[in-house]
Amino acid sequence: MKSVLIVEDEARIREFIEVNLSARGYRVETAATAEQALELIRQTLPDVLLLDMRLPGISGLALLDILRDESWTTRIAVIAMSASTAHLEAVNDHHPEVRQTLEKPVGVGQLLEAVSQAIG
Amino acid sequence: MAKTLRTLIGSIFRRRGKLFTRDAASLSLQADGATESHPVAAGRFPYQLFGGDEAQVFRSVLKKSPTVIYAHDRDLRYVWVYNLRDGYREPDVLGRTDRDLLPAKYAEPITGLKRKVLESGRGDRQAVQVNPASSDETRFYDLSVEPLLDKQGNVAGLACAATDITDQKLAEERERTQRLLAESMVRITTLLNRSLGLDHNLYEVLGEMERVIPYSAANFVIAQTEAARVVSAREAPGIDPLIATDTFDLEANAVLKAIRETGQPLVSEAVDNSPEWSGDAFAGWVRSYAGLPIHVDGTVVGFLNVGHESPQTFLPAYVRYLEGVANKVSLAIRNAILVTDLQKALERTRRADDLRMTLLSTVSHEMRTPLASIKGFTTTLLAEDVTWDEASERRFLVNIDEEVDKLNELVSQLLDYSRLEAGQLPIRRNQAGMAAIIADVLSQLQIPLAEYRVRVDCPADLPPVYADDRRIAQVLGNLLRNIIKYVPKQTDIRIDVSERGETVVTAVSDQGAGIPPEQQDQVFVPFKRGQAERALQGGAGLGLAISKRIIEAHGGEIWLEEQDKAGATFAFSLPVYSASQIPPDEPPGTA
Repeated sequence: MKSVLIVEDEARIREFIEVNLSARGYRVETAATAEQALELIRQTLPDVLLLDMRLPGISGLALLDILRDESWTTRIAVIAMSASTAHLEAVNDHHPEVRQTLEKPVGVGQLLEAVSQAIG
Repeated sequence: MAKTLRTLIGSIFRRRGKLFTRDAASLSLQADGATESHPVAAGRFPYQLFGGDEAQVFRSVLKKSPTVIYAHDRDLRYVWVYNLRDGYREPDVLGRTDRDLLPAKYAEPITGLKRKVLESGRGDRQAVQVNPASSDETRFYDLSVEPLLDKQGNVAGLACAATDITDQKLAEERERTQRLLAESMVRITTLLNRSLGLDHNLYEVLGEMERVIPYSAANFVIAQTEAARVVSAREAPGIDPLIATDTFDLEANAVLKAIRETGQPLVSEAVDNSPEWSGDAFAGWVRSYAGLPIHVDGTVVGFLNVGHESPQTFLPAYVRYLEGVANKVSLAIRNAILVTDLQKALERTRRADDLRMTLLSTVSHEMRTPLASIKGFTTTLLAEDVTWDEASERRFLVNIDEEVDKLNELVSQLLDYSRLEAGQLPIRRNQAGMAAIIADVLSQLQIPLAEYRVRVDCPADLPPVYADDRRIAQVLGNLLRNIIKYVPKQTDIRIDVSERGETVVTAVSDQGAGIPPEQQDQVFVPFKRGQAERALQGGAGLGLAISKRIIEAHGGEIWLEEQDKAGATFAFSLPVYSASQIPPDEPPGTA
């Protein structure tokens, strides 16, 4: 069973991703901030990290910088999510390790495809 | 004496050789343009024609010319005079010298010239100044001086002819002044066109004026609504400013008040202690004054003032020049106003552009957040590979429903905000009671507010306000919705209404975390909102910006009170309703 960590500050979007991935057999954990996410990553090392770029406090982009410095995290498949094209372009420019990007709003189909491709 | 005179005239004629030359036997006329038909042109000296006295002929000629002729002895005493002018009489002059008769400033140059001729034995000619017998007025003379020789050929005295050239001199002087003033006006135009700021340019204009007209002190005064302000002033060394204070009451200055009322220049060549000059209006040393109005679009917006310590200094030519300066300054002020208007318009456009950019990026994000939920849950319900239980389905639908409401609220806020920005949100003010408005809002928000302890303190004897009750309800609703968004439940909310002067103040307090100091000056700025709490609730960050505009459109104010305890207090004031405000107004741009 593949594990997915969802980092998303909007509760409803978090819920949408969580129920859909759970229903399709993923083990899902959630975090509303980058700080919570870091703690969970260190504890459980998920297979997939679904990361919203716009977060209160440490941003998604900053979290990616932190993870790059911790080599043991390189096996996590990262999917970056944002409502902003500019944020996703910044991710593509600076973080080639990010497997997939998702521009919100996202439907279930796109979400599932991105996750399965990221795991690849 | 006759012999002396002949010698004298002869020498004058030699000096003015263009008219006559004299040989031993006769004088012949060589004037250009003399016709052959004229008897004189035949080459005979006039006295031979009339057979009369040579001296008599020249007396009558000289009588009609502006030329005085006279002789001096070696001590430069007048020994013979003819055709005296300017009030001088022969008995007073004979036996005396120029030094006896004229002030030193006139006597010395003349005496110098005459001494030179005495010593050198060679004639000379020079323009000199004298004053009439009983006045200070300056007259200009063309003075020609020749030595008179005795039989041994020694210089025994002087023969002089002085021709009055005052009119010509004054005309030249006037022309020179006109030219200087005209050149100065060109420089002033250039000075005023520089982009260094009007105040600075005006100071340079005063400096330029100083080069061409006599003044002890000058200034530019701008008339403002309540006070007049000296924007630029210049004084000669050791002279007090023309007007002592930088700002003063225009009504108390009789002279400037008169200029403003008539719109005409006011010139006084003999300032005295008469009522208009007494008091502090102008410095005590002023003896001559010229004040010119500066008009912009038919209104006197300022004054050019010049003063002099001496009376009779501002000649008509100077006053015309000063009028010209005042006109140039009027144009410059008009241009400055136009430029300022243009800059303001540009600034408004720029701000509108900035706002539009912020709006676009914020709106795109803020709309996508509810859209992301809606899209997510609709596709969740549509997906065929999973069957959801009824409770989950219902929860997803509630989510969609609430996110649609959020989106709708966002759209209405944006609409309200853009209409307020464009001045198109109708504000229909009338008599309104705060108690009714509060009751209305509390009932609208009954469900979410049920989780708070709401206390209202609104005295029964409070006067009505002059307001659009729907818009004020919107403001109060915004404040309460912010509390619902950001403040923990089961806490107190207080609404306190009180009368302060001519206004009614409504204060809404909560027991939340308050506004961090670094965010306090941002709370009314569009699209700024509580960052830390963002995760809890959406919203475009427009509620307080909209509220501020609504309250300001009512002539009131909205503010965040100083935080001396936990929580935040927002308060707004509205004008008290009075009968004189009838009929209810309709602001321009009402849709």
